Amino acid sequence: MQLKTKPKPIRKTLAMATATLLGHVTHIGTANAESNPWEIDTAVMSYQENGRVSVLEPVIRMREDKGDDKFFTLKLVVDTLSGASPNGAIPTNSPQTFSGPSGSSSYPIAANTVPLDPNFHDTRYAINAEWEQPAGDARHSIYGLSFSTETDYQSLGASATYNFDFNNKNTTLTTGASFSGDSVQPLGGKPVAFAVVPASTGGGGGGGEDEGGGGGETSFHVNKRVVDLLLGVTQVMGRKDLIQLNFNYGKESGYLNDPYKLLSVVDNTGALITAVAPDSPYIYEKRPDSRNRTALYSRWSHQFGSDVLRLSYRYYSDSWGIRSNTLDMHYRLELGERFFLEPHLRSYKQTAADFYHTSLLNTEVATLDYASADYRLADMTTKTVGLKFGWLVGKHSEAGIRVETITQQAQPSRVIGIQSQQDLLPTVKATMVQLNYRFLF
Amino acid sequence: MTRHRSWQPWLVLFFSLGIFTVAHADDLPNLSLQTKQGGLHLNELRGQVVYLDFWASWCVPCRKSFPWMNDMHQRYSKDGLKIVAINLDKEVNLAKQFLTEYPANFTVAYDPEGLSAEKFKVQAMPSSYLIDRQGKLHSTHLGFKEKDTAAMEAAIKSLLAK
Amino acid sequence: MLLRSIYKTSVLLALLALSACSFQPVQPWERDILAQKKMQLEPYPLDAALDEHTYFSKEASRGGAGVGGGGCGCN
Repeated sequence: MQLKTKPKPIRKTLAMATATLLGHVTHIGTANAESNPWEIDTAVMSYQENGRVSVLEPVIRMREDKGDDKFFTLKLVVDTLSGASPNGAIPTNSPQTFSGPSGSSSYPIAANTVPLDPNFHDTRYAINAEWEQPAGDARHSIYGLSFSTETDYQSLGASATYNFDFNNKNTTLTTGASFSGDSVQPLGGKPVAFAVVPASTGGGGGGGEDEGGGGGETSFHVNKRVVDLLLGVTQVMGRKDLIQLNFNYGKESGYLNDPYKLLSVVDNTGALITAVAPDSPYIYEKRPDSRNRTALYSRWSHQFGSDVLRLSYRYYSDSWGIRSNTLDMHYRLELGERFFLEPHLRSYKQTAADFYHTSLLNTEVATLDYASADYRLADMTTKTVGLKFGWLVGKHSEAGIRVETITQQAQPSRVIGIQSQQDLLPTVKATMVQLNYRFLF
Repeated sequence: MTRHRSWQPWLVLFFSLGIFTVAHADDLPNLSLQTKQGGLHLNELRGQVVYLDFWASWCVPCRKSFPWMNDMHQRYSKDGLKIVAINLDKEVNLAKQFLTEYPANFTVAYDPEGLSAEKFKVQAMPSSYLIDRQGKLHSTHLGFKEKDTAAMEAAIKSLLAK
Repeated sequence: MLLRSIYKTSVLLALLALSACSFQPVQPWERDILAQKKMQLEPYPLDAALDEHTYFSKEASRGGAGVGGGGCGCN
């Protein structure tokens, strides 16, 4: 009893015609049939800061549908960074000279210029594997392993996530935990916190260790541990609404300093001051060796007609005194059946860490427990404006290009005397361009 | 099981009395469905083993179930297996588009309102209900997994043999 | 001003979350729209991962969206 079917070409034409009439029928998202078990997602991102670092980052993510709701995902990332990064010292009205992190080279900084260490060249390789499987009725688990390596940093991590569905899958409870053990090998040894940075000898100076005058911490290998716990609820709010609320607690411990960041020591006129004649007016930073952080995160996806709005908000707070608010918005505007435009806006604002000091008074050095001049720990805002153009190339492939500008503005914790003549923390502008291509086979 | 052998007069009697209809019919609601061939009433299929499937074009495992259902249809329809796959797409055109890619040799019915799914309290997509020759529900199945197909086929065979 | 808009949004999201108690449950066969890729919370995981990596390197906050991933000594 075969069903009577019209000749195929006509049926196909009709189907295509009706699909066109309906519009916006995107199949790629769900078209992972047994004939196409692999989903390959590739991207290359270029990130360029004005006069500072640039990053080129290709990524490939391969996801295999193993059948029966089991999935294997492998992600490979290469992250090539080069350029100049602020070393933490303040700009002054006279030229400055710094020894490089490895002690092998020194670099001069012109007067009235933010000191940037030009020696940042590193390539990071990261691999991430995930296994997802059902864990009984209405629940599934995801296990992940990650490893990354760069010249002075290795990270090995594991994670597990369990999802429980309730209420006809209208509610999902998520619990997750991750651990990572990181190893840091600062170039030139681990600098002694608060030790005076050796004066630059024009190219031959030693590294931070030993000569720092502190306790002779010559270890070339220090550790950092990161634990994260997550509890979340995802709720279907209607046919066109999905909302998620997550609570995330994290604890970092071990070596949390940035070994390449300095602090400028100044007198009460704001000018650099050297304690002992041959030494430099710069000291190494020191951060607490633990950090507890909590984040409350919520996101919402809503469909308007065929367009989709995605909104997320995060409140973050940690034991270093940093509080931040992040608001993120994507609006996917469908342009016919095959194209879309997606504007992206992101607004971020953080308060400074308790121990953030743009510069230190020489009288403070002995009294403070911790200090860092890393602008990323300052009062800061980040604004992102971006646009993505997406193209559904075929039934099983999709391409995209994304361009974003990122503007960061940090505020000095204090401006002492003549420092008011300087732009201590100039605006950082960056441009990001990303190409995407995704296909099934 | 004489009760079942003569189910039609009994049903007529229950209907005419206006009582017991809910209590009878072995808890399975009757369905009046629209197919390409016209109306189809579930209770008219008594005497056959019915594999009732609920599906939609956007449902990923549904794609995998179609070749299997074609296979079952081809092998067992002559023995009295009737596969009825009820599509629950709100837009029937999406179902038809799906069927051009995953053709069905078995009976496809359309229920854009989802009334049949509501009556059967469908819990997942796809869901299937295996009904014996007496119109009694044998088993329900949530989702479609390759590893379950052998057991499902065995159940079909055992009901056909009764 | 930024803070005000942020608070407004958080209040909105909180209200949405609360109204979850009174929402119309979506039946399994009514998930056509929710099944679309673009309606997923993270429709483009690579975009999200790259963004996360960038902001992790440039800001002091992290976490919230999920667990996993890896560390880096980012500058």
